[in-house]
Amino acid sequence: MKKVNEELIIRYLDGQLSAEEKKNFEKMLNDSPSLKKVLEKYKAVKDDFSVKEIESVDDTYFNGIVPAFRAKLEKKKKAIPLQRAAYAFTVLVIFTAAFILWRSYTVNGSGQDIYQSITEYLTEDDIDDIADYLSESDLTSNPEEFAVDEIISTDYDLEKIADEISEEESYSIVSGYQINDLYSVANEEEWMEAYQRLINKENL
Amino acid sequence: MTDSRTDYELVKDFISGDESAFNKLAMRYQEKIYWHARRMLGNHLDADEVVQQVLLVMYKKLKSFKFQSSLYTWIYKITATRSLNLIKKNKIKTLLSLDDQITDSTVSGNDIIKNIEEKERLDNVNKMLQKIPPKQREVFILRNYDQLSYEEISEITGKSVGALKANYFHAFKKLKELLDEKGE
Repeated sequence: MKKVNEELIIRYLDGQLSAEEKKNFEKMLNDSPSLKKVLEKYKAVKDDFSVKEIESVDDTYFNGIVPAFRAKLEKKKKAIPLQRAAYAFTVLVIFTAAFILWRSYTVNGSGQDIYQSITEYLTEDDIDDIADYLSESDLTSNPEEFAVDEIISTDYDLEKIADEISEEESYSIVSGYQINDLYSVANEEEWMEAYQRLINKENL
Repeated sequence: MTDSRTDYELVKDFISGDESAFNKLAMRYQEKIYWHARRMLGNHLDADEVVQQVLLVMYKKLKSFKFQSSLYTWIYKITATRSLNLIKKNKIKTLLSLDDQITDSTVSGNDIIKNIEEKERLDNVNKMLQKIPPKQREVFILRNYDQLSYEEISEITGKSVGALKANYFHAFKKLKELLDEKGE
């Protein structure tokens, strides 16, 4: 009964009740002081979390958004995108190999140490690149069609990809000597799938 | 100075090579983008990053915008996606840094709100918003703050109206519980 009332209250405040439902609800309100009390609480929540003019905003920020954007745009035009993408991809390959080692050693209880020693070699910029790439790789081509749900619900087979790379190969990759060999094991699409799977894993 | 041209006219002018038309569009929507992102992410610096990202996407993609949906719905869609993306990116960064400390996302030395009381109020509200799941938060913000209809939110998020109403209900209920806890 309480649950029904809460749902009714929220729908009432949200303007989602039909004329008939609204009439009945308002009658219930008149007959029940406890319901009225709960309604007041919900109304207070709605008031706390609704449109409120922020009066003391520093206007210089909003006035500076477009000039800041134009400056970034100019800088971006001068950058070499391919070089940056290649660098980010290389860092990702190393990270994925690190994951494989981590997964392998987790079974023996020393996975966290391996993972930690590998991530120690990553600079803040590397981490930023990886995070950028992982979170945005699907957006760059067509952002308006991007659906987070699709990525989260898709069952990418990281385990299968990881199984194709031996532990030995992973060591070589992490050491930075045989990155090209890794490219031959899985294509770029498979790696992207692997990365998506990585970020979907609960422990990540 | 406000521009009397419609969104459609500004987009047309921009496509025809009038760069200043884009500036007008950006200025028209920048506050909506900022406040949506700020409520989603809880702090000024991340919101500012989203604003710049959204403007960049708009700049690159406006030329292929067909006006099959309204421009503001399209901008909200990019803003919502970028905000969720930055939440995910921050999570990944925390993981890669092996940073076990939970950082307070609302803390920022660099803010645009000058009044301390107002900033505190906003920080409190944002802290509570950060406690509900991002998808529920998104629906709640689009509905309560941006005052969009469920049909518009459905266009932005790609979810059914029924699912959105359920999200809104759970978000609302959770916020009430959080406020109740705070009041105890």
